[in-house]
Formats: sequence, structure tokens, C-alpha cells
Amino acid sequence: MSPTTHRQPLLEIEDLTVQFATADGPARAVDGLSLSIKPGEALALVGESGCGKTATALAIMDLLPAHATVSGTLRWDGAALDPRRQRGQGLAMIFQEPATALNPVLSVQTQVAEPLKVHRRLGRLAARQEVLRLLDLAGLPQPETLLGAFPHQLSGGQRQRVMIAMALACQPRLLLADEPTTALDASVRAGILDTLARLQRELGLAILLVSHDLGVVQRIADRVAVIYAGRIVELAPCQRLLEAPVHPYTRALLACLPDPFSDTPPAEPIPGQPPRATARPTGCAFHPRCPMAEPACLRLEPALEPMARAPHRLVACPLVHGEPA
Amino acid sequence: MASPPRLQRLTRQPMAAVGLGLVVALTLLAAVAPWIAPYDPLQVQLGPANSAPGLEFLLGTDAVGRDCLSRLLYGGRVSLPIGLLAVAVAVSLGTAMGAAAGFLGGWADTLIGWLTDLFLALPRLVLLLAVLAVASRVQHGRFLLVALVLGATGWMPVARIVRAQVMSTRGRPWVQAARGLGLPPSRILVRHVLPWALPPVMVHASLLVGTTILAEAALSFLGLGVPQPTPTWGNMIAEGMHRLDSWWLTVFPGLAITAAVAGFNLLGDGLRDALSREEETAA
Repeated sequence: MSPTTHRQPLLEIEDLTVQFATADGPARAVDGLSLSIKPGEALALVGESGCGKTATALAIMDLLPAHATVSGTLRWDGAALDPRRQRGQGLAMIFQEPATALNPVLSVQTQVAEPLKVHRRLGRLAARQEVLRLLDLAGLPQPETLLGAFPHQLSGGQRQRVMIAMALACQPRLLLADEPTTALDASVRAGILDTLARLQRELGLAILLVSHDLGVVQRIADRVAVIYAGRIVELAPCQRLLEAPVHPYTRALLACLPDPFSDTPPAEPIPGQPPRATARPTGCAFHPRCPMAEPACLRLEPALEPMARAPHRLVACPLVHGEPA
Repeated sequence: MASPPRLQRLTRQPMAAVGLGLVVALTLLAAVAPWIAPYDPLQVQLGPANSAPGLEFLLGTDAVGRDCLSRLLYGGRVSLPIGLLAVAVAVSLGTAMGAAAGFLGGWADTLIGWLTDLFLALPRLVLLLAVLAVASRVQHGRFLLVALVLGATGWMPVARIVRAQVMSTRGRPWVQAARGLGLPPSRILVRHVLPWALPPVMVHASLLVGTTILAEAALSFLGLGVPQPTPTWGNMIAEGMHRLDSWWLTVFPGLAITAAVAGFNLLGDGLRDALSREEETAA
């Protein structure tokens, strides 16, 4: 790959909007979101429940239900993205609940081999070899013993690793991971995250990690996009964001994190509730909960712009724009 | 998922075991009829007409002196396969219709819903009479025609069951995951959605065999099913109804039909219990 194409983003999302038709009227889950992911990069989408993280991932995969309307532009490798062609090829996704994302009546071998047969047209023996390799790659030791197992015979961590093996069977360049460790025990969480980080490194896999847990994000993300009410409010390299959050929402979010090494109780929960997707506040969507809010915040929708003193950091809040980053 | 425990769960229920026993016994008797039937079922004037059951003719003879036992055994070779074939047609047609409606949704669902309602609204027997009366000149392959017509008028409940199951299954996470893996829709339908419609369809199919055997009997009774001299349980009753003093002409084919219908119904009930318990443990 030449250096010029290397700089080209793998996936570009421009002005993505996802709207669901609900009984209370249209609910806007994602509201003009723009984002780009470079090849081999791990980018995390962070936010509270219902802020549009998962809807963004599903929109990329074109897996949203029929009552959702999607607008905006998705570009893959510089050309328009056709999710139906890319999914199972360049794009793969793993889900929050490995217990239900695997078909309960098919064995591990059958499920992992399915994309191999469909996309790579491997024969039975070649597929079996490849299944073993993929299970091993996904961090399952002695994969031979698992081939005939059914999902209910596996532990939660094993199931998620089988899901990862299925995703890798597609030889993806971008893996979407929707809360991949939320349903798992804390003890297996770290192992799964290490595996994802290893795959990113070894295979040059780009990862879009969707999570509400900054502890999870910290382990693998290169960059973090903080999302609130369907919009990105802050985008920064992971360490910088955690050390010096700028946007009032990011600060509030980090203040909620318990610190395992200190005796002080975890700080303030963020006052109020995230806005309902059917009734978005005017101006900056965070203003009703923001400690810094000024009258202007009710009127002006802040744009996501590079900070004055740190152009690689983007923030959507004019009040903090000039702060040191 | 091994089959022995499933079979055990079925046979452990006494009524289901009786049903399975009846079905197996009737099927075996029909299968080996040529070897165990004492006489040729079509041979007239074997003995005196209308002789009561006795040692020479165990179930008696009919008005033209044919052996009733032989005819009853051979009748099973027509009535049972027609029932099974008709159900196979109904299940295939119903599954295809229901799967298309539930998986495609939209206009396909609306269209198939209409068609299902239309067929359900028509009284089945009237429809059967109309079709078979029009096709009355077809003498060869009458057997197939009856089975096809019975199947083509029995698919609607299957379509409804399959549609409902497909609609509830297609939103399951593993179906979404399969779509995310880029599997073609046909494969997703066949491997990840349809298997979940199978248990209720199997239950319904076994119940359907009973009603279909009855429908065939009714048609043959009305003279529109399989014509004489080929014996079926239905047309044997039809012949016997004019001579109710010769009770053996109607009672034995009637018992055979009762046994078959009861057998398949008990088997269906048992299947429902065995399969629903399986679903509970899987959930």
C-alpha cells in the first residue's frame, strides 16, 4: 500500500442521521454524525444508553429495522459504501449478547464455517482447517475440542470468541464491536479486549468499538469519539481525552468513573436525564444538564471544530474552545 | 439435540405411545397386505354374498362376495398414503407460502394473507366437490389427483403457523448476526429461520393426517374419491351404507378410520408436549 493511500480513511461517515418512526413521532437516534476511521485504527464511540452509538454501527452495516430511515453519506475506501456488498467481506460485526447472537441449534464448526463457504468457497476439509485456525486466532486454545459444541455448552467468553472467529472468517478490514464485553464477567472482559487489541495489531484490523464503559475503551482505543444525543461532542486521542477532557459532558462522564485506588466515593452522577430522541432540546442538546450553560447555548447548535491550541482535538462547545488541551 | 431423548420423551407419555403404536401398526399392516391378506381383494364371488364374519371369512364378505378383511388391508394401502401425500403437499405449500409472507413482508405478505383468507373462507368440502366433479373424467392417477386436491385445500393453517414463527424468528439476534456476516437471504431463511418453525409444523402435520384421512373417506363415500373396485376405507363404508343389517361392511372400515385418526391425533398431541418441553429447556 502506498503512503498516500495509507492516509486515506477506510470508512468515512458524513452527516449520518438515523430516525425511527415511533408512536410518539419520529425519534432521531443519530443526528448529523460525521466520523472517519483510518485503516488499522481502533476508534471508540462512547456515550450513555440511547445516545445513538449502536444505531450508528447498525447503520454502517445496514442492519437497522425497516422502520428506521437513514440519511447521510458513507464512503468505503474513497468510494460509496454498499453495505450489502461489504458486509461479510470488508465489514464484520460482533454483538453485545454472544448468548443469543449465535444460532442455538448449530454447532461451532457449522457456524464458523458458514461465511467461509459462502464468501471464500472453501470445501469441507479446507473449511475445517480454517475454522481451527480462526478459533485459535480468536484466542480459543485446543479448538478441536470445541468444533462439535453447541452454544449452550460454551461459557460467555467462549461464545464471544466464537463470534470473533466468525467475524474474522470474513477477512474484514473493519470490525464493528457493539459493547462486546458488556454481557461478560469482569474476569473474562480483559481477555477479550486483549484479543481484540492483538487482532488489531497482528492483522492491521480497524476496530470501531461501541461502549459506554471508559475503562473498556481505554484498553484498546486509539481515538475516542464522545457522543451525546446522536452527535459527537468531543473527538480526541484516547490518552489525551482521559487525561484532559474538554467538553463539559466528557468531564461529567469521566467524573462518574470510580477510581479503584482511592477511598473517595465515585463523584457526581450527571444531573438530569439524557434527552428523549423524540424531544431534542434546542441549541446544544446538553445545555439542560450542563454546569457551564449560558443563554446562548439554548439557541446555537455548536459545531464540532478543532480546538484553537490543539488542532487534532475536536470539540463541539464554543465555551471551551480556547482552553488549553 | 440427539434424537434418542426426544423419542424417549415422546414414548414416555402413555397416550402418545398408544398413538405411535396405532400409526406404526396400521402402516405395517398396509405395507405387508399382499402377503398377509387371505384372498384377492378384487375377486368377486369368493364365497356367498353378505356372509357374516366367521372362520372362513374373518370379517365377512360384501354384496358381491369379496373378502372384507382383504379389502380392509388393501384399503389401508390407499387411504394412508393419500393422507400422508396430501399432508406432504399441504405442508410444503404452506411452508413456502408462510415463509415467503413472513420473511419478505410487505406486498408478498399482504397478497399471501389474502390468498390464505380466501381459501379459508371457502368451505373445503364444496371446493373439493367442485374440483373433483370437474375432473371426474380423470380416471388414471385418480389417487394422485385426490391427494393433490386435498393438499391444495389444506395448506392455509400451515402457512399461518410458519408465517408467525418466521416473523418472530427473523428478528432474533442470530439472524441479525447472520445478515451481518453477509450470508445470502435464502441461506438465512433456510438455516437460521425456518428450523424454528419446524416443531409447530410437525405437530400440526400429524394432526392434519387424521383430518385428511377423514376427508378422503368423505370423498370416497360421496363417490368422488378413488373409484371402485379399488378398495379404500371411505368407499367401503359407502358401499356398506345401503345394507346396515350387514353391520360388518361399515363397522370395520369405520374402526380402521377411527384408529388411524386417533393414532395420528394422539401422536400429534404427544409431539406437541415433547417439543414444547424441549423449547422450554432451550430457552
